[in-house]
Amino acid sequence: MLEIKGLQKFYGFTKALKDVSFTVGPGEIVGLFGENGAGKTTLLKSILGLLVHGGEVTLDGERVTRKNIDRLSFATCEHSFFPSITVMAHRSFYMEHFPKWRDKRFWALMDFFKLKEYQIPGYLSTGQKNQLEVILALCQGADYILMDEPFSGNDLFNREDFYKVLMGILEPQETVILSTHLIEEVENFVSRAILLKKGAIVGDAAVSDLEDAGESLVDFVKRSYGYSPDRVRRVVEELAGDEEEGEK
Amino acid sequence: MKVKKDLSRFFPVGEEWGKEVAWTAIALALSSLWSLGALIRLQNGWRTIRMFPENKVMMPGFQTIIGSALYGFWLTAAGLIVLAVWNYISQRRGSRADYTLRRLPGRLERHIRALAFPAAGLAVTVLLAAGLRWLYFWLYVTKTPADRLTDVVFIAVSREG
Repeated sequence: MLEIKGLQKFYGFTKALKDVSFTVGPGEIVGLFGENGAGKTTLLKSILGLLVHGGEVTLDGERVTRKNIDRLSFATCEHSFFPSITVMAHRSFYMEHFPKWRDKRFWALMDFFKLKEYQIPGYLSTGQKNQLEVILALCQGADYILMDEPFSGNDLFNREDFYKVLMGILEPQETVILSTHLIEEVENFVSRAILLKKGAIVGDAAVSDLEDAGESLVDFVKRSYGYSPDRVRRVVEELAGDEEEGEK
Repeated sequence: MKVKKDLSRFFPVGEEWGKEVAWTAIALALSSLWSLGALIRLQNGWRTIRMFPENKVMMPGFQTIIGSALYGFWLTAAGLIVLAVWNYISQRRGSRADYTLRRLPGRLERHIRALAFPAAGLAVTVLLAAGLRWLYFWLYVTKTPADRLTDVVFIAVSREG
């Protein structure tokens, strides 16, 4: 159980996270949604201890320390691999430091993404870099896999295939927290949606509950965000009105 | 091959560590060569003393003899400190590999990879500089006639004796 209690983060005088609290159980696939600057990346990095923060993050009741940090893995669009060593050298490095490394899964995903072991990440395309980043996060052997916009730069077919593969390979105890803008794409993939707005949680719902209520994930996000559907019409009308006055 | 792989644990991941070792060795070799300037100044002093035995020419002070002889070592040391900083910066170049290094179960892994070689290099540099300084001082006090040494050094050495 990953428990986040009263997480706070300041950047100077700006409060990036405001008392964020939630719990994620084993096997959940959580979509973390929110506009740019909502605090998604800050939240994930705080959970991993990459940022100094207030509040508490615990794994099965224990604070996240060096003893249990290997239960968390991270795939980020900033990329956290080593750009100048081969994919194979990454495998060796991870195997050395993460005893629960999933080698069989590694080769299966390498094959799926058509990556070669001698390739050097620094010379890969952005899409391939994302793929390697995700492979490493999935194969580390972690129970909680945190992904921050892992597919930005990948084409649609690649992303869709990947979601399918991911659904197929994840074991029941493996948990994914996926931060993304691509709400519609992950609608059938996530089991729960957490919405962040200006550093605070404004929505948290199980997708199955939404389905029961006859609401789509996109509609839930719009409703939680206070999105007004006539916003575009109003702006267009305002602009049109200004132009007409100008012509007079 | 195994030793080579084991040594790579003390350098940033993916770094061509052989180059770091080679450049440091070259810097230390050049620094040692540059320090020979002290030896030249010593010989000049001794030659002057021999040339004017009656005039009671005094040997220049040890600090004058040393002069800039050890500057190369200080430069090397400064370079190694810069290298340590660079090693940390390199963890963020091209990717945020520092995120991975900071997530490792081994707390010190990241710092060992950034600091081990610069620290070892720094220790060798300081030891070599101290060793050469001691050698030049030993030559200065033992090979210079006692009555031509400046008082401070002579008294100090006499007391030690």
